[in-house]
Amino acid sequence: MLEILDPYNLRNNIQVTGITDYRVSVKIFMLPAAVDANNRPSSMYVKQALLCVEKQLGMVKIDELIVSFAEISANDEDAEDDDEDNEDRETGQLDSSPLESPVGSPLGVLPARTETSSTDSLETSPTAACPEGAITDMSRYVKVWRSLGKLRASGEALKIGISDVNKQQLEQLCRQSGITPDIVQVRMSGNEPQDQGPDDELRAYARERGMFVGAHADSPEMLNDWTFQTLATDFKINEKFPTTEVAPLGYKIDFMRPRWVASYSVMQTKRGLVANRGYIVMASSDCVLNPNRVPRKKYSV
Amino acid sequence: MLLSMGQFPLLGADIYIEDQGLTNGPLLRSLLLSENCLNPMPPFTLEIGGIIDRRGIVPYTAVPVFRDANTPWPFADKDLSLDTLDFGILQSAIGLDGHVRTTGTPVVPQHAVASVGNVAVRPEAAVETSSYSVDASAFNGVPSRDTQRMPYAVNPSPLPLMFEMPSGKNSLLLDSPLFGIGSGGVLRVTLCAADLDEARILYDQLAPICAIMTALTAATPIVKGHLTDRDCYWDVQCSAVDDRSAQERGIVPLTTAKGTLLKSRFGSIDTYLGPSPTSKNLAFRPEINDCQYTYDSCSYWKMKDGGVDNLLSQHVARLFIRDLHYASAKMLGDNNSGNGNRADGNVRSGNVNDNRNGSSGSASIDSDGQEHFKRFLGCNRQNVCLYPPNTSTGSGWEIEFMSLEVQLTDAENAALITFIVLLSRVIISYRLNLYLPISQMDQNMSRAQKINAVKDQQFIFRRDVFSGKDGNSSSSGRIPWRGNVRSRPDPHMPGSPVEQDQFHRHIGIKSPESAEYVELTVDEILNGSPKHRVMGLLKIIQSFLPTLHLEYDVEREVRRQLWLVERRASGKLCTLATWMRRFVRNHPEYKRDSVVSPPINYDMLRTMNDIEEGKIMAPELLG
Repeated sequence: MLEILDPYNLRNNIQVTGITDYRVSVKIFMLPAAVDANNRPSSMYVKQALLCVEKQLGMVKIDELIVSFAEISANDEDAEDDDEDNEDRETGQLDSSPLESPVGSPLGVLPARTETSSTDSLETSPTAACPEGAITDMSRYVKVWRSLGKLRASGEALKIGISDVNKQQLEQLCRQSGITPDIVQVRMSGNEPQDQGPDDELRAYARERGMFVGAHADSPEMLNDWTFQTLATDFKINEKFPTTEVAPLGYKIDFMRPRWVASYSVMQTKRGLVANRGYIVMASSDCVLNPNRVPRKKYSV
Repeated sequence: MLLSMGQFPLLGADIYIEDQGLTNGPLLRSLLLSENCLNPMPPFTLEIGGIIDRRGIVPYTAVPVFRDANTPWPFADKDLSLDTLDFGILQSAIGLDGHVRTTGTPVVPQHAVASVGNVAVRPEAAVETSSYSVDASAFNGVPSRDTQRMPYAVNPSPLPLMFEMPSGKNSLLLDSPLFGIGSGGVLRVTLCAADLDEARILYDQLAPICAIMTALTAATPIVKGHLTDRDCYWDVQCSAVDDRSAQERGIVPLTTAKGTLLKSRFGSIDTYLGPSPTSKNLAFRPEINDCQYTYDSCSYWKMKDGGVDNLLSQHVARLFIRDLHYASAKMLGDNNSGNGNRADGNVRSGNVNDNRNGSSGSASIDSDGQEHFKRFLGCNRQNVCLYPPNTSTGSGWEIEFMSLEVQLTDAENAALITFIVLLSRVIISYRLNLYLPISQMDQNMSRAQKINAVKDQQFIFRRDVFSGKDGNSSSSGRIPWRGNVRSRPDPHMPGSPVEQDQFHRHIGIKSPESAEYVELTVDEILNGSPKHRVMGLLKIIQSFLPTLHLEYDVEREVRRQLWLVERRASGKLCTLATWMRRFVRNHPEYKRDSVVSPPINYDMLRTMNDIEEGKIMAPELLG
């Protein structure tokens, strides 16, 4: 677990007398590697992210919980970006296919690729989406989305939201899960008007249903494997956090891959000040088949 | 036609308006402006009268004129006396009252001398010859203090003085405080702070930004019907209301005045407030308050004894070195009679209740004290001002940012205000460290007013605004730049070479990427510069903006406003001053002699009005 904190924004940095309204916002970026055995984004990571945020901020009520799926946000960009992202995703999926998410889980359980018919589309949908750049099938995100809905129902999160989806994706997600978001975030990166891609359709749709349309300036690709590996090498993360697990015969411990990034911010709403802000990155290694493994001998009776 | 602009370009230039009236009236005593310019109500007349009486003479301001192809050079303002004794070449002469007069800068014209004789001139005030010229520092390129070290009267040989202060030549002469008060449109942004600690942070961090914003919003290139060598009005405004007596200016020896005052009552700040004593922020180092200033020691000790910390006491005591020019009888109560009009510099401290040290027993905090103090604050204006809470209006600690020149359209003004407000939010949230030694800030201020400073000038600025809070003067930042990870020495190791140097040696020449202060253009300061490892202020604001969780349309509008500031900083859009200069120089009636005649002025204002109303597009100005 890596916590990238801004040390100058300690929780008690701003001392203010009197009553202040704080708003705690958490945004979870589900990276391509945050998948479970079925190669779907796993809601376990959502819970994990919230636990980490709680550890950082204390027992605070989360006012806004927004999720962003890396594949979708990456696909929202132009075609050039899509090609790169597709490559990343493909390699990512190849690596993650024979194994489980955290290190130490039982191995040898192959992903049930033929579980449901939709899993076929799981593998094919990102790649098939190349030409247009938009993901059309939102079924793999339903599980995470439902978990967010549960959090809202239980009161742990006041409002939930999703970011970087277009109107069709949003419609499909709401329909398949039965949960509508309170917040829809649209990307607005620069100051120039053309940077703010007007997604009028989406905004009109969202406004009709009473959803708050907000803007964010997060990069479409929050953290890819390559960047993480470069940082890990520079800061010697692999050496500082060695794994204690031993890979069984025929398998090896792969490089650490970032699973999710959580960005939290605590705002003083009435004054427009940031009281606390930080990022938490979670990365873990997988156990993969060792390509150099010695093949097993076959015993004949 | 209602225009928002800094200064009417032809104010003071002969006949510039119908029914102008006669000049040299009893209230203004100005040869350029008639009494019709002045609101005859007591606060205004008393203020003007007070300035003149305290100084002993009308404050003269010299504004350097722009040298164009056909400008007569050396330029002589036609309102200057033609007496060779007075103009140009320096000679000592005996003045009217027997004092030695050393000349160097625009001299009192003969007919004005006669009018001065109508005023009761106090014995210590010499017949004024050289006005405090704020432009000397700009020409010499040194902080303004250096030229004022020697009181003139001490200097036996007047000749070197002339070379010390060349700015009297080739300048326009302004002779009324009305050129300062009531003119020079400034956009004042008042920010409310949660408490004194936050107010101090804001005060300190907004001060270095003043010069940048002055350059960015330059809007006054025409003064008294001439194109000047300046784009901003700040210096002119400061020296037009300069009410320091001759003793305070160091011209004659000190007898009754409290001390030499190096700056006019309007000017840039003299001292940082520093963080509160309980703050853990170590970014402030006492040596960055590196300018001299005088303060009233009685008030200082009173506050120190009351528990106020050193810097804040000095800051407030600095206010009491000046005088009010008028006070209503109600404010004075029954203790004293008459108005507060005096030139001897003694503070009647019995009159003023210091209500700043609320913690200790200031026996009676009544509203009169607040009124008094507010008046004192009004007398002194710096480019950022700190206002204490006011129980009658219910306001808290306030910081007023005074360095923005007013722009032509409401949209631009709104954009600037948004920028400043967002900047203040960012400063408080991220605890930015923008500290700059005061002397360098003054230097920035003089550079900011030059022609097209936003593109052509470089300003000394702190390179890494996020570092320094842990007390290390090193500035390489916490996270090393990519590509330099292994070669960079650990900035937190004691004895690291970057830490031990004096701050002024950190102006990066050899290694700009690790210096503490670097010289940057406005574009680099606001929009960032990878070469200097500078993260631009606008970029920081941009990263802060999404956390506000604004509604989409609101955020888009705010970003559009920031885009205007971004383009002004990068030079894609020109400032209003540049636009005005361009207009004048392209006008068919302009004879390239720096004179803006009434027809040119009329056309220019007409065009500006049409732009403001949207009838004409000005893409080079508004985008």
